[in-house]
Amino acid sequence: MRELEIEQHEKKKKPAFGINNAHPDVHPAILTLGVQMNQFILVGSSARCLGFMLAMKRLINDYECPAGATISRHLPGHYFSRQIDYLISARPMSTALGNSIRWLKTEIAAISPELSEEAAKKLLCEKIDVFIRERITAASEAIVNTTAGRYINDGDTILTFSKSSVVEKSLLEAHSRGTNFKVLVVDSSHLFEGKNLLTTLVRAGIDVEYIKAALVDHYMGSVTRALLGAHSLQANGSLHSRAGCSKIARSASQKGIPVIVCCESIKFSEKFTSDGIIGNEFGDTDIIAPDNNCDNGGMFGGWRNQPTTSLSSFMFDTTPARYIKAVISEHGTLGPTNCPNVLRANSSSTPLR
Amino acid sequence: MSHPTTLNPNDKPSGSKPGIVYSEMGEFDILSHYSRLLGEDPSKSMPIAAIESLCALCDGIEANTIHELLSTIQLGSDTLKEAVPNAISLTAGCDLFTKFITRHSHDDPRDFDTFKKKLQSNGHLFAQRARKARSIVAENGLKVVTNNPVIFVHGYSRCVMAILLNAREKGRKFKVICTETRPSCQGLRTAKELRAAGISVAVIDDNAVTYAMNKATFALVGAEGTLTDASIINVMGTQNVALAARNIDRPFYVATETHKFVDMFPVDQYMIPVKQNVIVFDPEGVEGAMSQEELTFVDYVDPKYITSFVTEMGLMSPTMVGDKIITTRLEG
Repeated sequence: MRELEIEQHEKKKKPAFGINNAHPDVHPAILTLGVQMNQFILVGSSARCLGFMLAMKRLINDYECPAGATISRHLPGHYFSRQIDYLISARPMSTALGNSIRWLKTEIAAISPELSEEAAKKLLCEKIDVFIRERITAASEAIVNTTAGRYINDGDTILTFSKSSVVEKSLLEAHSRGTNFKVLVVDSSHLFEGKNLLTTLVRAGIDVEYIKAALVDHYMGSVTRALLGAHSLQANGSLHSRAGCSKIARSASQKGIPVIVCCESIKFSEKFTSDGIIGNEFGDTDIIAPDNNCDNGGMFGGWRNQPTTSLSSFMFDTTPARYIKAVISEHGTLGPTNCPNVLRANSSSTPLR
Repeated sequence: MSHPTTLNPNDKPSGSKPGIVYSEMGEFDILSHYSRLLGEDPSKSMPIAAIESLCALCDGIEANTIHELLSTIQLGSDTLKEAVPNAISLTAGCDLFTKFITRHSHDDPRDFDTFKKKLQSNGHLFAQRARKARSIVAENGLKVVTNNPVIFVHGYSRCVMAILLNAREKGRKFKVICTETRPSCQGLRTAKELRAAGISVAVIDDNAVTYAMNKATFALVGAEGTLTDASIINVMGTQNVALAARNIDRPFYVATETHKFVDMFPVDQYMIPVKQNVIVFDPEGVEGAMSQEELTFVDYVDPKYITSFVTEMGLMSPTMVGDKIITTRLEG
């Protein structure tokens, strides 16, 4: 048992990733996107969603409907699924990506068959632009505005974990508004994304401290707020985010420090998981036992040949709703369990709201 | 709203006094109307007085268009919020009324006079419904006053009084432990009124909350305002009661009408929109605690300590309360 059984099981389900394995139908823009996701060049839920939407715009522009078929029937069919299968083989689907794919499919299927192919393509591209503007760009602006305006105040010490683009923007915005506050960046040992945040904050001239997650309890005494980003927010209010988040949130909420999550409603999921393992993603075990270290007979030397040793490195964890005080979305500040209310409101009106 | 006749509270004529609505259609002293309503009827709560004042403002000002009428109401509620030091429960009433009016403003825009009349009657209907809410709360409160309980009460709340007096009337047997709630001594008022109704009351010192909690079956308090995450704002010391109750697993009930639900989301007690100087280091000429003469200090209770809300919609869990406020917000 070299890896956890559950991990092997997950890997068996997953087709091997590679441009060579991709179906010939996969569009070049999607091919590139897949590689970027697989190599962690393009990380972050919103960034991946944005990248996907832009790639789809290129795909739609290049798309030619076969004779005898209509765009509303042919495009969302096999052709579309092949693109998605390829992307899933690059990296497991995220909630935001899933939500936007579902939205796009509905929009394509709703196109009137009387529309000419050119007009239909133009309409779709416009709709994608509106989607990007409303659900990603404007949403994150609204969140930044609320967070910087109301939840970051003079004299605060803000704890943040790993890197979230919307938290980063909020901190920069609050700084540019002249708020006087300190930031404590806690980094995960996964992709060390906190370092990117650190660089940006230091460049902006914000008073910032950088620590490893293991030390967080020592520093918690001086923290006044914890601002966290999200991978997705589940229907029962629990937060799916970079591994380590749960520990930070628990530590903060037990000390009476309000834990605030910044999350666009595109990341709201109608599902929830009973634990942190289901729907998780397996990262590189090299961060625990670097391969070069092993080869030279280091601490984990030869672990791959040891039948009793297994390593696993989860990318995400689940923070229960009870550790979260507030969720800031483009619909204002919500309680963590109000996620279904927003989903219901969104689905009862037009798909875009 | 960018309309030439848009009214702005900052564009007041020189020499203006707080609490008076100045507009092209005339002026109306909303603050004194509001204070008079509260003075005339001590059982009237702040949001209802606010709603009635706004109704009176609609009646008193000669508006000629829908827009003028709506912006007058907006201006009136802004003026009132500005003039009153602790405006949480008042904000609830004003916001609800404005929302109610705006939602019905699209109903029949053809004939302004009929529209205005309808709107005014809607406003009065709304105020009437809000007034009726407390008696329904009192009825629903009977569900918690069972098996001869000893009820722990803090401060003076009209809803709590209504529940207890109603329970007494219906022949329920119970006793009350009540704090003095200094410095406002609201608790003494509670005790006096309950004793007058023949209910046996023990008044305890504010410091004896945890000492006395063991003898109580549950705690029942009112709320000035209920916020989006179902936390409540109430007289200072309520959090002590909540913590004492939680410590030995006594249910903590909050009696309130739904028109006191406010869409605000402070994440801790220091973010509530009331300016109160509770903690002041080395103030000049003050030896003891900061005085509460101008304003009674308010406290914040986190929803995790609240067992249930007793409202006119029945018993509501904190999650249901949050759901209701968010749903109202999303409906726009």
